[in-house]
Amino acid sequence: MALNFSRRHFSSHLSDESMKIANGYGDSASVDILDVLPSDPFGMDINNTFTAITGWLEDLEVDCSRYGRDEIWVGDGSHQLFAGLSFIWNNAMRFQEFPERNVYTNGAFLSTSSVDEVGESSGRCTTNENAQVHPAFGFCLYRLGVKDLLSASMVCKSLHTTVCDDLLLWKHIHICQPLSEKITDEALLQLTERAQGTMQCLRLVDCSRITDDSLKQILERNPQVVKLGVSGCTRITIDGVLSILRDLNSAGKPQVKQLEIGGIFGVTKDHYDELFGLLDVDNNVEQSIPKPRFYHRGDSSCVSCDDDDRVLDIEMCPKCQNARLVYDCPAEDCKGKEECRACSLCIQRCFQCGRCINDSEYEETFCLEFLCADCSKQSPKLPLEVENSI
Amino acid sequence: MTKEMFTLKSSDGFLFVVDEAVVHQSVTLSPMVQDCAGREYPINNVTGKILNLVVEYCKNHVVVDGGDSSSSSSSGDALKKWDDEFITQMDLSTVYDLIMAANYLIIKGLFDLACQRVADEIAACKDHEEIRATLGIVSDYTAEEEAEVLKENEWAFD
Repeated sequence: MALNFSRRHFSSHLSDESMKIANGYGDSASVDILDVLPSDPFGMDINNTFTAITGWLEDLEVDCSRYGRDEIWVGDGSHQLFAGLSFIWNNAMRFQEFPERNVYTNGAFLSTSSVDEVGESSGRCTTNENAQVHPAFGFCLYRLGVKDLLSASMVCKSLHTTVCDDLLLWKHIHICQPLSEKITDEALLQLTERAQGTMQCLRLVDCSRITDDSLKQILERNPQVVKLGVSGCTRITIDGVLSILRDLNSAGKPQVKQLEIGGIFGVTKDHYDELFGLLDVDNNVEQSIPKPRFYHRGDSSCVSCDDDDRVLDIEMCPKCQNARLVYDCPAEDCKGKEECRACSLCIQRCFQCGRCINDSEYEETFCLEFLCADCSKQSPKLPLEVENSI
Repeated sequence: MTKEMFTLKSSDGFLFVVDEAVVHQSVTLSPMVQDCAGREYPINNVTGKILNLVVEYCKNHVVVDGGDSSSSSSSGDALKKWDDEFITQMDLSTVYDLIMAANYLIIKGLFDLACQRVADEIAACKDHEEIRATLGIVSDYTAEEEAEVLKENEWAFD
């Protein structure tokens, strides 16, 4: 259902945008998308018009079938261990040795020094009046995505209190499908408020309703953010992001260590250089060679932010010198070759495996994507998004 | 070299004799290696049923962790398969007890495995009513309160 909904939403969103941009081109519902699109709506290089449109369609494309469980990022194991270790080392928490009544601890391990202490944990714990909810469940909340957390909050009052009041649950917020297109400025502000200023990671993927102003407001209220991602958020501009980073920097030393802006349009070399100046790059530490990035439809949603330690996801494409996401090639012939490193506009790639499509056999799908011969053979009848249903 | 054996005693009096490698997997119990060889170490918070499962997990993880550092991916896969079967066969109430035990004994792998099982159950539920059914929780909301909470989150569900 959600897939069909998003497909409908996609086309209505498209028609709204094209109506605005095209200044009333008539009934967009019956007009071919390509006819309605103006030549350079986002100030992209006019020479790349057709490929730019392809890129735009790529960036706006929704693949709900892949995103069902990606929200789990919000509380993956390493985050929980980190939370646990940070509490052990900081001795910030004291835990009840073993709950006599149903009290949630915050997901960290008991500190060995606190084993003998039978103390109340800090204000983060919620006294659970509802004896049906096992205290162990509190630990599991840290592994739920945002949508599941919201569902859990509707189960009973004590879970609602925990979900709303536990800061740790909102320290890392990752919004991807199916919430991406649904989340509004107001809803995001409400969620981020729950961190009470302690939010460290905010990762928005394809959140097309979020604006520069609300992002600015959120970062003002949560100045400790070290990782920020706005991939595919079409209403966020590069100037908006720069303004936020400048404000954060003027308040103190640079905080943001990692930034994802793949899919934001109009990023020039000057913007790119300024970004590096504003991010917290430790020049004394040699930057480790980043893992190769392979093209895959919906790639920004699938990559956990813990996997990638790049400071900035985009780079200057070796071929066109535009600031975009640059992909490596997984094909055996191309591995390690610099010639096969470029943005998706310069080198066409298979959307499944990411290998380059040069003179080799390929299939072009209805969505103007490419499938290499191997991937095409493996799934001869590609399940189109509209056919998948939840 | 003879292996040192340690005796763990559950809250209900069951005894488990385990070797050092098993004990070391618990951050809480590791220090006792120096002190308690040959004596019974009481674990007052964990029942025999659960301690049995904990010991089973740790024994299984010793076999692989004790292997060469370049362990093949196939043994990693086999262990993962074992873990999946281990945790899936249990009912949720046992999983909760296992979470509490793994938290107290500080056994990260087991803690993560058990928590993830519960998280997976929740993620598989399509809405809050299904979560209630899965966890066996009866709502304590009044009709008005429930309507209010649904309204608060309506942007996310439709």
